[in-house]
Amino acid sequence: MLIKALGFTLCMALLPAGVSADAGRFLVFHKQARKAIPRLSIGLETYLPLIDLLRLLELPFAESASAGFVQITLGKNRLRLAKDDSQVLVNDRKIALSAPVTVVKNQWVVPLDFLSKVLDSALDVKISVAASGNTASAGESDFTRLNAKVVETNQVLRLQASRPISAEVRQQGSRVVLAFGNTPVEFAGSEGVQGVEWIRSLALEQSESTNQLVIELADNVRNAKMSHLASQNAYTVEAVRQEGAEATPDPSADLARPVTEAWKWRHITVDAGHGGPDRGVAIKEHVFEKDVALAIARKLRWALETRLRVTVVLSRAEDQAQSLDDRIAAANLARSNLFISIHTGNTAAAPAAYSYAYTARWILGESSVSETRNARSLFVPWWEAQRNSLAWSERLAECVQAEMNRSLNGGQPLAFRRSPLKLLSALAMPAVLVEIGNAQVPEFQAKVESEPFQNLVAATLAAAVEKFRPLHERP
Amino acid sequence: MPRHILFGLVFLALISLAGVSYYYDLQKRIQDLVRPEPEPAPYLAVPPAVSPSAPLRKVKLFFPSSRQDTLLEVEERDIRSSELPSEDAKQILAELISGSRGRRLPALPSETRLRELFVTAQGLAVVDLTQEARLYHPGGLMMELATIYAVVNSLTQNIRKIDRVQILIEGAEAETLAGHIDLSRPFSEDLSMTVLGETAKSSGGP
Repeated sequence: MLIKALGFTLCMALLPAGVSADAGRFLVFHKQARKAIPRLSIGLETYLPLIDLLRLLELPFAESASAGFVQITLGKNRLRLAKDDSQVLVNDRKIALSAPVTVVKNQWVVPLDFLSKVLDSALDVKISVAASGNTASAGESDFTRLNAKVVETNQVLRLQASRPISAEVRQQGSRVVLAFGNTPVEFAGSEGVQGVEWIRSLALEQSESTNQLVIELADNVRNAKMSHLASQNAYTVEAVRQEGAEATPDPSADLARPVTEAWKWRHITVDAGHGGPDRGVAIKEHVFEKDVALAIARKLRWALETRLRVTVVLSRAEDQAQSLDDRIAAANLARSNLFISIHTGNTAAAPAAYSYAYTARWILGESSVSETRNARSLFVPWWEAQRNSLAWSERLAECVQAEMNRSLNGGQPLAFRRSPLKLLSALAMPAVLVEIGNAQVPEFQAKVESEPFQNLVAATLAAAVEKFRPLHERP
Repeated sequence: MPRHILFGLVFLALISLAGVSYYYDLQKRIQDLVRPEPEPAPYLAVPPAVSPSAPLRKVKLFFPSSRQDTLLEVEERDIRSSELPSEDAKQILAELISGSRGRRLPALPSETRLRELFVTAQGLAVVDLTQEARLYHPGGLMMELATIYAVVNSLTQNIRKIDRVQILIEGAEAETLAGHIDLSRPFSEDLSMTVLGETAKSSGGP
């Protein structure tokens, strides 16, 4: 095992490790204006300077610092932060953050969830953070979420807002720009945009000087027809092509997209949990988690190969014992683009047989080893390989959980979960673990071995991976 | 020998036998009264070195909720106060293994035994459990997580000198407890799963 670990870290030498650096600016929408403060990346965590943040939010405070801790008085509230401690004391109540508070260049910096867990939840300072983690909205106005979808046989791009919004729409050459002024906007996702040849890119540009959605059109688009559907909170963009231009993709456009080709998927690992003497959960007499997981994994492999035209490998193809390190090493050495592990759930507490997606999380209070070492080191500890892919894993988990909610959980709006999972923490690609159903629920026991149910599970997971692919493959 | 003498000797022998038996039985009863049998500590391989007359103190034990799979609920118990954090910790583990006295799920399989427990100067508690903790664990990711944090939080919340907990199985680091959660590194307290403010008082002691 030691040899494999050394071999893995050697292979990881080609991959960039987490670096501590100035990662740009963090934008806050506050009182009808946009203001920005520096943003730091330490490992995979985003940090913000605490004092700059309080000043930006115009919160009157007093500061008292000593070796190792700082006390902030905000009105009647008292905050006590200790260096390298992820627990913050708010009026003698402990609040756990995702990462420890620390000091960088004599500035106290806090992880991003300080905004939601301390300011918003504990101190009732209204602030919400966008899903991207790059912006926040303070005060009464929350983010307006934008979804992009291509409709009407790929001819019209529809931008749906979650609430009434007004934008200044203009076309600048091959760019269509929707400028939102000081309205807090976040981009919730796109559907079908990747495969449309007349849209080159779609991006939300936000800074102190700009807050706009930019749509880059293909060269063969002469003009764009834009409409505002005020009653539906939507905008539409329809391409007007050059006369004589065919609807088929321009071959030269493919040559102009070498970056996309470089990110093209080619390998997926599907892992059936447990195996051999490790039977997993006993679902019913003679039916164990390892058997159900393998059956679903085989079906999922077939579904993914058919839909995505990529190589799909099972970490175990038979009922055999296989250590977690072996599964991890195989996926990492194959440089798999995606890893999905299949298990069944078991809890006496929940009466319903809900299915959940899980991503890795690190043990609370444990700081990243890569932070404490040379930040530019190319070597990553075995158990931290997932850190660089965690953001993608969480997006994958969102897709998987959404599909499972739709197909398996009866429409329940359940969120994916995070756990200190041995298997996921060492994988160097987007990775999720799914727990299907609940072995203690009789209805689940009755159907778990049936072909239709297993086919449904495989189809659900395949659909989720298919939705995730364009998000990940896009450069 | 005349018959009446023979009968007399037999009678005397029977009386003597009865008297000797009574004597030994009486002796045993007196010994039992003076030196009672020590109560077995069923969950500990080595009983904690705590005086039976030591004062009681209340501790908070964490058990998986039977209402929601992402929650731990708190129960209060009494243990004998000791000067050594390891001895308090052993009693806490024994109480955890003995199970909830409310309608909560078991934190550990009842077949589990604590092989050893010690606390380092750096605040690390090393908890060595028998393999039954793994063999009889019902499985499932959330149940496994609940087991781990039931042990970790029960120790860190009640013993100030314990900051982190490392769980061993049969004296060695284990890959996982039931196939999911990484056991190779120590855990810190995590109260995010805990229902705060809900306690069920119950008395008891080792």
